[in-house]
Amino acid sequence: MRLARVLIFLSVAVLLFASMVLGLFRNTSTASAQTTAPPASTISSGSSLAWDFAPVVGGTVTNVGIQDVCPPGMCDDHDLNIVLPSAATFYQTMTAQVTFKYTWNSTLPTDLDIFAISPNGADHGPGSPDNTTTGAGEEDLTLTDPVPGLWHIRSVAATTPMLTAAHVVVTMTVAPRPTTPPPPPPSPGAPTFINYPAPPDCAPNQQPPSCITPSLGSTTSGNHTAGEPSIGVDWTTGKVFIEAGNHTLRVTFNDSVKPASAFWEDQRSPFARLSLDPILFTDDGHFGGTNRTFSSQLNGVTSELSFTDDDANNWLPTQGSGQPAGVDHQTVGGGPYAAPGALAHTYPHAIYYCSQDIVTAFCSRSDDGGVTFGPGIPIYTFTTVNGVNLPVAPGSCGGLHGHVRVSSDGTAYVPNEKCMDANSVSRPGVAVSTDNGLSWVVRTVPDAKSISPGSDPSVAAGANNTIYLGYVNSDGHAKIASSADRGLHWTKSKDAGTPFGVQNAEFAEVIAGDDNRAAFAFLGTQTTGDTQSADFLGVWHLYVAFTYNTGSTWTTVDATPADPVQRGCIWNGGGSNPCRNLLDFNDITVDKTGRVLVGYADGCTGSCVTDTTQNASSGPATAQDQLATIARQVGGRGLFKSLDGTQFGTHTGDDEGGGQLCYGDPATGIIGGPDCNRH
Amino acid sequence: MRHRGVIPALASILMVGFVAGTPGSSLASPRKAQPGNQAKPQTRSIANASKDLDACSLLTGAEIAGLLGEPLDTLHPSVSSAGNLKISHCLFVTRNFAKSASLDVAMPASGDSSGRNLRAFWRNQFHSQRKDKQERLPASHKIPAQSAFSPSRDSQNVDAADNQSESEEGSESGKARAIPALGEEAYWVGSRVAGALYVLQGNRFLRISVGGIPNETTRIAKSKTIANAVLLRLMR
Repeated sequence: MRLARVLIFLSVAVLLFASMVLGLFRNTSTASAQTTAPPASTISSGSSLAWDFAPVVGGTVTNVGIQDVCPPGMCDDHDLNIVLPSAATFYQTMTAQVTFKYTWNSTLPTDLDIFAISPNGADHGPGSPDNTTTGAGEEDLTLTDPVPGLWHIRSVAATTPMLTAAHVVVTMTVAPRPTTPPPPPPSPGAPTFINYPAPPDCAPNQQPPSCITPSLGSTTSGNHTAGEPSIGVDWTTGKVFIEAGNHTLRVTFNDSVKPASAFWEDQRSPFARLSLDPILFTDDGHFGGTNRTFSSQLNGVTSELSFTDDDANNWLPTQGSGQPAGVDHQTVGGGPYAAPGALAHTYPHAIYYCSQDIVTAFCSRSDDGGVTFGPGIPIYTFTTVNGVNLPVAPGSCGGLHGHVRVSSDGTAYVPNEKCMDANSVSRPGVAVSTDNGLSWVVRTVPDAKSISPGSDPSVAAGANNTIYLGYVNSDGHAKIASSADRGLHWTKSKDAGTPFGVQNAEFAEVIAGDDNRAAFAFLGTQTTGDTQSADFLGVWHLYVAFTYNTGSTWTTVDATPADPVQRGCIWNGGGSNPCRNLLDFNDITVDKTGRVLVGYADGCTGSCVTDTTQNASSGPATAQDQLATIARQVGGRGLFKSLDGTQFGTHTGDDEGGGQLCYGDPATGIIGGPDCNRH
Repeated sequence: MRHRGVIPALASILMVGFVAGTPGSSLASPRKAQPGNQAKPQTRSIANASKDLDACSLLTGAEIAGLLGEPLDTLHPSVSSAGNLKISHCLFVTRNFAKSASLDVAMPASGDSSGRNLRAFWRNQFHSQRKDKQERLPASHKIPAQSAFSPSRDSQNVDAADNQSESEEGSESGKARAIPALGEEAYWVGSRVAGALYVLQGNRFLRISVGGIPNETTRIAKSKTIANAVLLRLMR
């Protein structure tokens, strides 16, 4: 730490010195951006220009948003007016790119960053590659479809021991907007979905099923506060549970009518008093579970984990009392024991509770169905830098982990977006335990690269232990790979968004059935660019990709073709952000017939569905919603071959679809292709 | 690049030391506990203790049985490298698994005989304030956008605590709880389901987690008793 103090001291000293030096120059032509109006330029279609940034020096230990404050000495500003021929309508038919080639020279290891701050204050940057170099340094930054107006282009010292100037060349290109490629014609029997949004809370004179009666003592069912929902299904009764916030909504589908109707009830656990990191897990019949459903909240006044054996009519608390401290992002899952199993267990499946503390991520195992848990056994160690958890070494992971899943052979898997491989490269991977959670090892997907910030990957096991890991790659694409040996080796990753030209994805969710069948749901948009930026204008849909051949090929369908799930950015950072409405994940499950169900929060409801001017960043509320919704498979092949052609209420195999893409809800019926309503 | 924000440059430089360690972890075979399983007494001070310290040697079967109220069944030792830390792990599996105990001893890896990096790691994890970095943060930092469809995140009236927001409770859940009079420093990090006691002493720190105890106060007390026994053995 002595080195740290010296470095920090030198950094501050150099910064102060630089500020004084620059202060002397305030009356000269190189005046800092903050003391006089910054130099300005204008760029329009097809043109390019260049300028020099004034020298900057210093660095930051913590992220204090230097690029937003732009203090003299550490940051130099240049205003760039981006002009479009017809600002209001330009992007309807055209696309534009503004590219910054930002270069400098240094004699010591240096990292300069370029940022572009949009007229509405959205940050873009730093450029790429974002690294420390000696000699010639370069970052490139590209703005796709930038909003017209005055942008602040800033040269920022990240690790800059000596005053360093920079040069930038800016080029603006425009081109006709390519027409969105039509989705590929679905093959006969392609999966089809109907979306079931939660109905509104019942008014005093209203009765279900057109509305939900909030649980006793509640003023709402939480239907519109359903960010990061999880979903489960009781294989015996067919009842479906979607949990978000501290509400567990039970949905009973009636397949005797077409389309099936849905009856929603608020069956909230009385022990889920506070809402934080809600997790629902049903130990369903896939691998012989009892259909016990667990409801977990990170914090609570009494117990934070409760379970029900009667479809949420009654809940029982599990182990626990006391004050929570420092434990975060828990997950609950379970499945068969690995051989040899526990010496004694009073519940047929091992139930795992995994979470993160301040140094390690850990898992605890319960042998009595979640009533009591064993010790928290570390699954990897991490370190925290600027509030971000990072892997400490090869074989460890950082960030936050996803949801624990167990295969039929009892292997437990905890997925993570940022695990360090043997070459210290950060890749999506899984922590794996083959001995009932007594020990863990981290395995990564060799052709995957982590995205930052990103959302959790998801892992699921087929009947004969093939695992499928769905993730968002560093390029934003929805990728999935499979492994037949518990993650030691992986197939080449497939881009499940390719058929629809998906350029950015979020919230990977995977479920498997037969060993060679799996479904991979994700939110995707065809728009390129920075999905974290407030001015990102992508339109997001829910896609579900199916494989019937162990991942060799995937058939992808748009489960919400006429109803976006989100317009605008999907924020993966912490804190308060208007684009944070969907929170961290969705969830997916399969019922006993092989039918896939996806639980998701719909961020775009009401007028947002058709009003293309709405977006999550600026609202209105209809574009910032988080409505509990279930996408329910109604056609095509499910995840169990033995039930092909029978599982959707008829013997045709694709009752609702007839090979067409169908969508809709119980209120409006199924729409889409001409065959969507044939019964 | 999707990430926003200035690169935490100096911190990154400081972290280089941590990530330069030897990869991998090794898992030894489970060892059946012997009735007279006796930890080998350590005869050196903590600062000079052997680099090959085995966490399983720090508690005897009799001690485990006495502390956890269950006979010891097996020992599951493993060693892992975490940058400039070397971690010896032992899972003391009792006949009733739920009452088992997990013990980690983190010590300096080779090349850091002074333990400077280990103590820096400890300070970083337990003393530094978590910043609102533009990276997805733990749930305790979540402040979801307020839905216009509901008056609050959840305004149930089950009890007063129902009205707490995520951010309010998060500010509590994000903290480790200091445990006084144990080692140089000690913290309890836990939820109602599971938790761990971290204890810094010299150039080592311990992580102790016990299972099967519903009451957290009791869990902390058991963990402290184990910590004291381990520290005593390390000090011999």
